[in-house]
Amino acid sequence: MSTAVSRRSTAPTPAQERNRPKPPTPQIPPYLGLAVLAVAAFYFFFWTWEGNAVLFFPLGDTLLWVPRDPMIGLILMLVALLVCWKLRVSPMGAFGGLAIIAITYWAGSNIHFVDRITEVPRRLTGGNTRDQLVGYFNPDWTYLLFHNVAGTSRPIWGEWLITLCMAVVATIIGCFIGLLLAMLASPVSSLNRGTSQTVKAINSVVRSIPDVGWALLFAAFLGGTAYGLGALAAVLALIMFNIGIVAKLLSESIDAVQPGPLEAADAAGANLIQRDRVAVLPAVMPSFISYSLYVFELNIRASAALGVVGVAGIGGELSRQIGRMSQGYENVGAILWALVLVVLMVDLLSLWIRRRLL
Amino acid sequence: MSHGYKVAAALVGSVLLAAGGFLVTYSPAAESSDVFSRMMWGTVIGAGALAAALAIYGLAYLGTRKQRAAERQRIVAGHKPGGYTPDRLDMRPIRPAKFWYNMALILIGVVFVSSAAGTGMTLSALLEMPARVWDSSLQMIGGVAQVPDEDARGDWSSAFDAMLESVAIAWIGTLVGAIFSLPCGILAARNLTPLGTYIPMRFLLSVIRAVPEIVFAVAIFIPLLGVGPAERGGAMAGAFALGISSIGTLSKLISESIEGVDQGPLEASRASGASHVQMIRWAVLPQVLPEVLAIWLYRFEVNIRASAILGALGAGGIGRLISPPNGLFGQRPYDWEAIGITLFVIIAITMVVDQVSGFVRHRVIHGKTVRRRSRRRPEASAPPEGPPKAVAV
Repeated sequence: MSTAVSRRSTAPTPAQERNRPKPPTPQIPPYLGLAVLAVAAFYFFFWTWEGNAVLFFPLGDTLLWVPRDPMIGLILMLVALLVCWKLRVSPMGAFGGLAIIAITYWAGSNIHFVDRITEVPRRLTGGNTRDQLVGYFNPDWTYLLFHNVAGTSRPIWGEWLITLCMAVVATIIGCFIGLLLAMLASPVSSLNRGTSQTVKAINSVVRSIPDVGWALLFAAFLGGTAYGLGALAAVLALIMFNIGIVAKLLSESIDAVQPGPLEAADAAGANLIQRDRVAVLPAVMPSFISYSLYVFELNIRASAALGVVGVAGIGGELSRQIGRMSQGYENVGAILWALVLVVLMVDLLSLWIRRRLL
Repeated sequence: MSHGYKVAAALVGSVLLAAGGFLVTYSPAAESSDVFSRMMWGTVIGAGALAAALAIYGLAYLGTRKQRAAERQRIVAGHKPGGYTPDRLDMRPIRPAKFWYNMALILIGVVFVSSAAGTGMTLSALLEMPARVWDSSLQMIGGVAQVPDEDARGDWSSAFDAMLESVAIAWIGTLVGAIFSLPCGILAARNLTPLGTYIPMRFLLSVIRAVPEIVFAVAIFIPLLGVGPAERGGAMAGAFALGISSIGTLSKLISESIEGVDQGPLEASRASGASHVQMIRWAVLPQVLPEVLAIWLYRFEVNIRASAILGALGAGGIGRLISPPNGLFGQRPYDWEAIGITLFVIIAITMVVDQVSGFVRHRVIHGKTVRRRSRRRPEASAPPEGPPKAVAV
């Protein structure tokens, strides 16, 4: 056996090499088109270019100058095209690679990637960055356990309870409404095709507004973020957030339900509600429970963050402490560490429930 | 078939729960925190209502004692010679008892009542809400539908800039996550990695998954990269926070898809003497790459939505444009026309990105031809919509 392996692993003779089929060389015109696209992207980069670094090309007695960053982008794109040509990638694949490089260049220049990265060492040595990082890793636990929210007699751990309560309420209501909407959104269990299309369209609008947007909208609709109103705004925002997620995921799993029970229910003369109740609901119940637990985890994270926009819960305290960060970073550090611990515990709890139930 | 003892146990349990909640309202914890005391009062009310309902049910159940005794008598009589007792063929099947299922539902109900009390929501505010919603929606629609004057043009352009910045943040974040997640996913796949690497990798990934992205943003990347608008580094902080926190989920999904890979090519490459890296390159990657690309694109969509909340914390993007104190919602009175324009831009760009990435995902996974066929098939062979009416009649 070893001899066979050693004989096979010797280099192939030239005849064998010639016989091996090769992928076809891609056509030239699409690649030329891609090169034109790369140049067009270069012009776009040049047009939106904000820096002032230029490269000089001495060309005889004239001096050509090109903007540095867009030129680097163009060279990268052309090199990528060349590599794709050498590897005999199809024009569509090469277009994908080109698009990735172009979008990355656009995104990077939009958020000033290179400037900020090169400034990191300077920030680490000077300024208060090091104090901040040290403060976060030495959290002040007595603040978290024994202090009150500034100016009130409410303890900090009560804010944690509000956060948990908001998450529970929003999960239960949101998952229930989401279940109903998912039933209406899937063509398998819906009234008719028009209803399912409409519900899907509404759902994609609901889903595209971020949870912060919902919280701010509801806070405005309710007229302020007083103590009780803040919790109400957060709960309503989380409910909308949950409806979007549950309706999307669950309607996809309703689409994939086995047709057998559905046909049996139809054959036994069930009407639509009976059919959904006996054939669809039991089939999607495990995934519904699993999505509900997932949404509950998301809600804990989101309700901690939503306080930032002025609603109740620990997030409000977090943003207040961030606002007075010049007095020390230990309080913020304590809240963040506690947030990690709470999220970890909720994760473990939902893992346990999932193991027990599913 | 008596279940009286279950009713009695549940009654005792709910009364105990209510009494315990009532006692806890006198504890020092409830005196210092009104949230806790409200929660306990909620528990008392919920458990009390449950106890009352169970008591009524139990009384009704006790009232049927005579009928149940007669039924038992009849069944016992049927066993004597010459007697008749309905056997399994005469009876409809008895529905199985779902004791724990019902208990879980009831417990969820009690927890719901107590947490709803704990949040201290003032529900009366909901009564005034529809009028305000109506007013402000009219203004928002007016803002979107008007021919843009100087102000509105500024709103449109700032909304577009902020939203495109959010897309850029999400793209860079996804890219950072993607670069790290492929090696991490391979190292966390059980069929490619020895146990000594697999277990620490899994542990690391679950730690990353447990840390919320606002923690990454506030504690690490805002100090490192800056806060505020994009020129001062807020956008970069958001992008890196999103990227690092998406490593956890991405690697988990990628390692699951690697573990589900077809074993044939792996064995073939091992038999022809490939090294480990060659095996990954030629046997594993071609199988999982479409799925991995789909996972990355899906995460890109998620990151666009997630960048909003980081923006509210001081990282850039759409969250910074809308959130108080400096954003659109921080102005009094609210500038509903600008808010309407911003929401319209958010919805439009998110939906466009979703459509494009959904198309690319479908194209990457299924290729060009399958898409056309799978569209036509359900119309051709699907059963007619709705239940057949003739069967019911």
